[in-house]
Parts: sequence; structure tokens; C-alpha cells
Amino acid sequence: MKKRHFNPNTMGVVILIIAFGFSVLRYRAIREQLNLGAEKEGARTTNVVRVLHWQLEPGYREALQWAMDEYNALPHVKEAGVKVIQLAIPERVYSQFLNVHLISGTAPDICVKGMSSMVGDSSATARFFDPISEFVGGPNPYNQKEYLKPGISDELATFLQTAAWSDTFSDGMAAGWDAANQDYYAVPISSWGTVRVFYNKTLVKAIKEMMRRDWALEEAPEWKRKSLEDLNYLKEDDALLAWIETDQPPESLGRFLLFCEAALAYAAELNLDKMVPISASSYRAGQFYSAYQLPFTANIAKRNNFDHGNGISTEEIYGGWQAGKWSYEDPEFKAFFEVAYAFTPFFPAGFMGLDREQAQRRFVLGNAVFLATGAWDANSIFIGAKRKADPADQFDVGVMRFPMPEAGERWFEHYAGQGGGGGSNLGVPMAISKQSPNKQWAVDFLQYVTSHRVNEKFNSIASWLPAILGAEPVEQMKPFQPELEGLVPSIQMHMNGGGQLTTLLTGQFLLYFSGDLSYEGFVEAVRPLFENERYGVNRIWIDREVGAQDRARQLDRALDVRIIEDESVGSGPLGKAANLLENSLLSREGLGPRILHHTLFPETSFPTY
Amino acid sequence: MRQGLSFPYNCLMTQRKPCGFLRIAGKTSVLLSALFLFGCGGGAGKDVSLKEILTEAREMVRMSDFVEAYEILEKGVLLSDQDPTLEAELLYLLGVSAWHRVPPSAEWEAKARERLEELIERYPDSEWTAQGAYTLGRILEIRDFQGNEVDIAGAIRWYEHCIAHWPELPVAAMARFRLAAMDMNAYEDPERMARGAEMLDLWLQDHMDHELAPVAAIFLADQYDQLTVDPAKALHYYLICEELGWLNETMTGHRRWRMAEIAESLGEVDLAIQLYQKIIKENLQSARGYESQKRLEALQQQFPEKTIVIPPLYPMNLEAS
Repeated sequence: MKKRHFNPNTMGVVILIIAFGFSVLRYRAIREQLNLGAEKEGARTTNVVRVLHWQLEPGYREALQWAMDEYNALPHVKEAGVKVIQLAIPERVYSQFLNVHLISGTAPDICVKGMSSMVGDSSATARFFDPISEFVGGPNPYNQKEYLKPGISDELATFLQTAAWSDTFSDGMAAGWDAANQDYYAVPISSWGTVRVFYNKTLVKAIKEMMRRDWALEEAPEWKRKSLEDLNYLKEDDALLAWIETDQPPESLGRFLLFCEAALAYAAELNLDKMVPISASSYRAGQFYSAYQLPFTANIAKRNNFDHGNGISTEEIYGGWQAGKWSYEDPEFKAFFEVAYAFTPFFPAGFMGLDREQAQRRFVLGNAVFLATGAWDANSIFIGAKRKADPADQFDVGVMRFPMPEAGERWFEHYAGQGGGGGSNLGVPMAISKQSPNKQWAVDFLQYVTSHRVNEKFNSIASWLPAILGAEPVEQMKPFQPELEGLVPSIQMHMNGGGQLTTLLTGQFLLYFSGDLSYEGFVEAVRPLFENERYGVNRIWIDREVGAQDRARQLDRALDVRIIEDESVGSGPLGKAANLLENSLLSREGLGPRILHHTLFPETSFPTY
Repeated sequence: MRQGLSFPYNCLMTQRKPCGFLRIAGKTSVLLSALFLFGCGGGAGKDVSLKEILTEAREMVRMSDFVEAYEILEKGVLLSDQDPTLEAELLYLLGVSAWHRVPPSAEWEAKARERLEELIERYPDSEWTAQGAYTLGRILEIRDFQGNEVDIAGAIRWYEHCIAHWPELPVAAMARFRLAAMDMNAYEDPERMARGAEMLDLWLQDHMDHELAPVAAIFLADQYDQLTVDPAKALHYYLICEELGWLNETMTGHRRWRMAEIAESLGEVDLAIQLYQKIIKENLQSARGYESQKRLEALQQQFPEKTIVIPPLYPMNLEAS
């Protein structure tokens, strides 16, 4: 009898078939679930509304979960078998995650807009997300009497009950508005607030004691002599002496730099090797520098705002340089660079190699007096400063504005004014995926989470700032409330948008800030970069024209989509398509860069490749 | 048998038949694959009407997925629905989808023109035809890709066709704006710019109650502010916008700021004051509120005889609401 040999390939085939079969079944199950937005829960089917976001800061997920649990427990939501869940994805992979799911048609019902390059422009927004204008015009049903918290004023209650949903946001829902598509595409649920300087109250008190002790010494301490005489940050006057006598942190630029010099002396005196005045990193240092860019360059930007627009464009900035309308030798620019450079000695050595978390850790460990960051990090800093095994290591955290020069201090004459008058700065904009089978419920949940009572409570649990008018932030977040007082944020000399030139300029900035290049050396080094034919200003003109033409063309697409969508083809009224027509005409077929070039250089033809 | 090859290559290379079990497994795999592919496809051979195809295509257009929309619409070409309205819509959507697909190309532009010209020829009275004629004008006017030759004369013909055939429809106004814009955008030729602006101004004077009058007014204001640089005329048209109502509310604060700047430069201080006050009260989100206060303070100093009210900046715009 012929003996049958066991063929080892058989095992492989069996495993392959089993795996294949399992994959098919799993694929079908997931596909069905995603298509229907439903999952089996016990005996009944539940419609699942998924919310995708990247806010992993302590407290945010818990707060959102609270809102979801409350919502899921509402009688009509339970009755409909609806359940809202969250998917929190780390910032680093959020973009890839969202891109893949948007393209594959499996995006969650609600996604926070941002990060993803797929939703970076208006055409992608229109392609992947649903406009929500039809909902924003009426009152938010969850602001009706039975949902409001007791004790709010009649005026506020009446407003909340009657106002359009969009009007209940502190920015009128501007953060959800897409100008190119002329529609609301997102619902912001929190406010980013403002960037502030955190300070260690214990260290401030100790350093101020040292300053008081040494201020009147016959031989002035180096930190005092350096600040008042060598670097001329400020003058000694009664106001300065009165401030020295208090434990108040330094609230003007001159005092801040004086204080930082004293902090270095304090660390040296006590052999605190790890202590630095300002905890900085590649990320945090940028926040420090950018806080001074607007106050010092706003006036130059205004002079170069050739189209009188609400912002200054890349071609206005670089074209202005080419036309000799500004230079790095302008006193305001020089002052900005000097201010930024003045902070650098107070950063830790090698700060550009440190990341955001390392800087924050240094501060909460008590090894730095100051740290600059935004409201989104506040809760973790407050918690970190208190969460110490040894109570002696705990410290109180104070919050202050970036110190600006005051009259009589160095650089005051070049100071245009406080920045940051941008208003509410609402964030975490949640958009509804076009692929969502649960659109109505997604809108319903967003209305719930942005109702006055829920938004206030949700943001207080998260220790963030609420997005809704009249909603009170928790006490510790009040210093981060956005301000209306300040210069227009969009009019400053930001050097972004210049492609390779911006990258090379940043390299030169860093060499200057790290002390490897003098200011004169910096000015000399950047000139040939601007003039370079391959990536310099001429190249920027060309790139900007291409971008402007693309945007103009996109407006044509958006206009036709709107006309078809609103069924205003032919005799119907144009409605919102009229806004798009206005934008399309004003885009002038992308001629903006050419028109500006002609204005600045009437005798010169537009650059070509 | 060749060494080093594994199943199924060894079977293929040696013509050796796999054992019975493997044959069954192979057939099962094929069957499963077929079922899987069938499942992915969601079934085939389903009869659909032109109306359903148009609904599906409109959804794709709504998602700006013009490639998919065109593919769906092509199925509709094979159906003879006999409903002229639906067929006209089909041709219009085919033309628009072909034109808007990314990246644009000569081939797709030609297809777009072909579809739209067919629409105009076959259904001259359809509601889609007016829009189709306007779109043809845009296709000819815009340089869409490298080497794309524009046909300005052709574009003008289609725009004039819209104006002549459908004078009462919004598309006639849109065509008129595009005709005017061709001249108004000629930034190197002041005479052409003046001619375009004059054409648009004449239309505006005759159509102040038209739905698109604010569009014409803002375009003229921008023209005199940016290109022709005539502040008085720019302010004149901005004031018409203010009277007619702003279409783009998010820009209202910035535009009022610009109006106030021009008003100040022309010595119309009272108007500037009113505008700064309006910005503070109504357009705080423009971030111009604080600077408006500063301007009012400066004007108060400059004109001490005037009593200038400087409204407060509300911490949130609740009160303003």
C-alpha cells in the first residue's frame, strides 16, 4: 500500500484559509458596523457616534467622557439607542490616522479639524465634512429652560434660549466658519485661551529677598550693575525700588531681565546647577520670541500692508524687502532681535535640543523660575507643581502676561503695543464627517456639549476655557481668558511662507540667538539668501502666484458645487453662492501677486523661472 | 522538481497536481475570494434610473469628488431616459465634473466643452443651459494648466449669450461681472480698468435691488481702493455696501476699518468716528476693536471740540449681542 506522506505545505494552506476566512468575516463585520454606525450591545443595536480628537492633556478626556456619559444617559438618547464614544489619538499620529480613514471612508462621525493635511484646505474640507449652516441659525435646544443651570441671570437665560446657536459662542462661531466654502464646518467646544508666563512663586520670593538684601550694597552686585548700567535695561527710580520691596514678579520687560540676572546670581550662590531663570526648549523658546514679534514689528508690517488687508501676506513681506520698504536694519526690527537675544542667556544650555515635555518637567521640578506656554498646559503644570512626595518641594504657580517695555525702559521707543487682541481664540473645532451615518445625532451631541451648562462644566473638569458666552471658567483659568485689548494679531512681520528661504532664515536666526553670529553678521548673511535666484524673493513671487491661481480656481469649484448643492442653477436665487461669487471676483483670477509686483516695481516685469 | 520553490509555485513549475485536499482548498479559496469580492462590490447588475444616477452624482459633486461624479454620470449617458430635464442636468453635471477634476488637462477640458456645447444645442431652453453657457465662458477665460490657451473672444461670446438670452436670471449678472472683471483686472492698462469699472457701475445703478448688487459694489470698492487708487470712489462704493448689507459678515469689521481709514484720510472725521464705534459695538471678532478705541482717543485729542463716545470692549460680546 502506498504510504501517504504528510505534506508540510498543507499546514500552511490550512492556516492561510483560516486566516483568510477570519479576515473576510472580520472585514464584513467592521464594514457593516462602520457603515451603519451601529454595534450590538446585548440584545439591542446601538448607534455609535465616534468622536476623534488629539487632546490628551490631563483632564480633557475625562471631561469629554463626563459629557458623553451625561448625554448617553438622556432619556431620548437612550431610547434611540445612541451612544457617543471618544477615540483619543496622540498628536504625532493624528494626521496619518485621520487621512487614512478619510480616504478609506471609515472616518469617525465627528473629527477635530486640524493637524491633518487632508483637511488643511477648503476643497478637502468640503469633500470630507458636512456643512452645518442649517443648524446654526436656530437656538440650541439644550439651552432651553429645563437644561439651564439654576441661578443664571434672566438676561443671560433669555439670550441663551432665543439666540441662534452660532451667536451663543464667544466668537460667534467664527472658528467653525470656512470662508472659502462660505459655510460653517466645525463646532469649537473650548477656547485655546492665551499664552502666558508661568512662574514659581517660591523662587520669585526667594530671589526677591536676595535682591532686597544686595540692592543697597556699597559695591553693586554684578546683576544690578549689568542690568542698570551695562545693558541699560531700565533706570533706578522710585517705582523700581517700590517693586523690589515686594514679592511681586517682574511685570515689565526691564524688570524681568533684571530679575533674570538676579536669578542667575541666586542659582550660583546656592550652587543650584540645574536651575535656570527660564525653562525653554525648541518649542518654548519660539513662544518667547514670537510674543515679542508683534509688539515690535507691527508698525513695519502696517507700512508694508500694501493691500490694506486684514493681514500681511508673504509677498507683501518679501516684496517689501525687495522694494526697500523695510530691512533688518530698521530700528524696530533690530529692537525685536535684541529683545529676543536678551532672553537667550536665561535659557538652559542646549535648549534647542530640548523638547516641550523636558522644558515643562524642568519647571514643575522647581528648576526654573519661568515657563511660557498656553492654557492647554495649565492644568498639568498646576498639578505637577503640587504633586511632590516631599511637601517642601511643592510650590505655588503664578501666571502673568509676557512683560513688555515700559516708559523709561530700553526699547520702549520701538514698542508698538501689546499684542493679542484676537478675541476668543476658540479651538477644538469638531467637524462632522460626510461619511457619518449618524449626522443628526452628531449634531445633537455637539449642541449638547456646547450648551451653556454642559460647556461650562465640561471645561471646568478639563480645566480649559469654555467656548460659550456667559459660561464661567474655573478660577485658575481666568488669567488665560482671551483679551480684546491688543493689536491685530495678523499684522506682524512673520517670515513664514517663504519656503526654502524661510528655512534658511530660521537657521540664521538661531545662529544669532545662540550668540554664534552678531546682528551685523546676521544682516550680511541673510542678504544673499533674499537675493538668491533659486529660492530667494523672485522665487517667492512665482510660488505665491501659483498658490493664488490655485485658490482662485478652487473658488470656481466651490461656487459651482454650491450652485448645484443649493439647486440655484438657472432661475433660483444664488443665496450663499453669492458670497462665493464675491470671493471669486475679489480673488482676481490669482492676479494679486502680479498686481502687487506691478505696484512695487512698475518698470520691471514679473519674475519667471 | 526544482528545489527551493514552495507551493503553489512547485506545482506550477512541475505540472504536478496537488493532492486532493489541496485541490479542495484551492477551490475553496477561489470561492471565498469570489464571495469576498462580491461582498466588497456590494452586488452588481442592479438597474438604476437616470434620476438615481443624478442623485448619486450630485452627492459626489457635493463632496467635490469630480472624478467619481463623472464616472457615475457616464453610466447615465447609456440610459435614454427621454426626460429632457434630467438629460440636460446630466450634460451639465458631466461638463462641470470634467472641468473641475484635478489635475486639469486638455483632454478633460475638451470633454467639458463638448458636454456643455451639447447641452446648449440640444436643450436651449433648459434651466441648466444658462449655467452651462456661463461655465463655458469661464472655461475659455481661465488658464487652467501649463500650455492652456485661453480664448477671451470665445469667453466674451458666451457671457454675452447669457446676458442676451437670460437677462432676468442671476447668471446674466454673473456674466456681466465677468465681462467687467476682464477689463478691471487689466492692471497695466488704466483705460481698460476704467472701462470695466464703468460697465459695472452702470449695471449697479440699474440694479440696486438685485440680489447680486452687494457683490458689484464690493468689487468696485476694491477696484478703486487697490488698483485705480481713488479713495473717494472707494469709500463711495464701500458705503453702498454698508447700505445694501455685507454678504461676507466675517469681513465686515475689516472693511469698516478700511472705510474709517479712508474717511480719515479724506477728512470725513464724523464718518470715521461712526465706523470705529460700529466696529467696537458690532465687529469685535475682527480684532479691530482695541485699535478702533485707540483711533477714537486720538481723534478726540485732535478734535477736542467734538464729544466722541468711546464704547467699551465687552469681555465677551454678550452685551453687543
